Amino acid sequence: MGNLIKYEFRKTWIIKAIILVFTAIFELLFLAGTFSKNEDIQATGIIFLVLTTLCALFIIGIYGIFRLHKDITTKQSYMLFMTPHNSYTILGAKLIENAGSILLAGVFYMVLALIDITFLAAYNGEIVEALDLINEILGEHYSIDTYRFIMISFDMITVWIFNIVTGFFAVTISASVLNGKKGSGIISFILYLFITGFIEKLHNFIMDCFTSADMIGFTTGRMVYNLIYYIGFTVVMYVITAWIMDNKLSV
Amino acid sequence: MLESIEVTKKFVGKTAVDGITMQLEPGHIYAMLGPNGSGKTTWMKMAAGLIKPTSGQIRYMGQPISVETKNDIAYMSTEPYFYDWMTVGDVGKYYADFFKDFSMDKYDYLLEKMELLKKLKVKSLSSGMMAKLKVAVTMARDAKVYMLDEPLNGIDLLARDSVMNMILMSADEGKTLLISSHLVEELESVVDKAIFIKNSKFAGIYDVEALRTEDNMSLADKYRQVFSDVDMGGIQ
Repeated sequence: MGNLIKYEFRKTWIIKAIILVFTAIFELLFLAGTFSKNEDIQATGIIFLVLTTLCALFIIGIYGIFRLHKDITTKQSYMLFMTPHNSYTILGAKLIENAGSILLAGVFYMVLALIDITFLAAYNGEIVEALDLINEILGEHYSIDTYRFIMISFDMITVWIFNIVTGFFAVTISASVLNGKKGSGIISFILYLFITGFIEKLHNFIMDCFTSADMIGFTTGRMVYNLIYYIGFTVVMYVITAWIMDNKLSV
Repeated sequence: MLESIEVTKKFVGKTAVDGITMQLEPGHIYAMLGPNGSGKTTWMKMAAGLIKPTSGQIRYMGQPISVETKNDIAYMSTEPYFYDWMTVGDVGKYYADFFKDFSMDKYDYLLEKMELLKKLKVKSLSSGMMAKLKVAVTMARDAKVYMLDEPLNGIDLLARDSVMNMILMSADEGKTLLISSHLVEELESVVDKAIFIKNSKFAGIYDVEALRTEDNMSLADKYRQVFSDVDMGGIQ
């Protein structure tokens, strides 16, 4: 499986390198603005860093789905399926590489954000006061500290990885069960929306049944539940997708 | 031994392979012959474990085709399938990473024979060079069964000779070679058995030498005889 993961990374490293270059440029912009006390440059750096973070996680995930689509609908599929590996291993390698990349990117941007905020606070005491004021306005359940920031970030990353695996499922359905049928792309996209929508509704329904109104907002229990719930459904979607790939896909 | 038992493959609105039963023994070079769309490629892909039959079974050494049999069966597709970012050298490394029977020394030797440079980008190769690369990387495996789908497609006469020589280098008593091609005359001198696939069905397996000595017939003559009633797109 190690070799499969290695080649999955090889297929996607250019897009990741481009994202890193953009991150470095905007980080330099932010640092230059902070050192030179130029608020315009500093603000530009911050805005683009936030945008790059969101885009990076989005692009890595979407590109993973695109790669899977290419790997099962073109002749390049032979490169994977002629190797002595079953579909569970092939898809598993894709999932590990993609989810691992999203997780690493998420941790990287989390750490970068924490460093930048600390750096900003050290250079500008007013920022700390502003953050305190925002937290006071948000109230106990919505206020943000480092611990909450990390937990919420992990929660969002997990939900995104679940969305990616559901994307894998939709692409596989389109290339196998619906292959050659009219509107297979649209049907699989609707299926994707339905599954992600249903899982979210179910999540909210369970939350409503087991939590009281005053627990709305952040609690450790809620975050742990979210993580377990979405990791569980990620595994379920992975197994279903690999089974379809193994039994219904003609490369 | 590679055994096909009542193998059928259906796609939406089409039966690509229809109840093919046959046996391929080690120590022989087989030609798989039939017009376009007769089911040759589909059967090979099933034997390579790339697709599953709708019904029936293909067995290798008594075991159904599976992930494990891919270690012994080498398949070469007629279409180019390497990743665009690869160089000729990367293709060899990829095979070395996934197939224990792959020999980098043999690959280097075959590349040298084919006059292919390792630094060349795959996407820049001509169709002839691509055909040579596919054969070189497949034959650099020490597999028990080689299945080559149209290895002579798109290459000139001289390149065909070197490709056929490269294929024959790997033939020995313990191996089975299966080559599909439309170029019947090109195969006649190198294969000893010929399998005919007609309208997705098995239409016979013939000993090429016996055809010559007993029936006084070349493989090309037999091909014409078997497929004389098949619509060949205007060519009679």
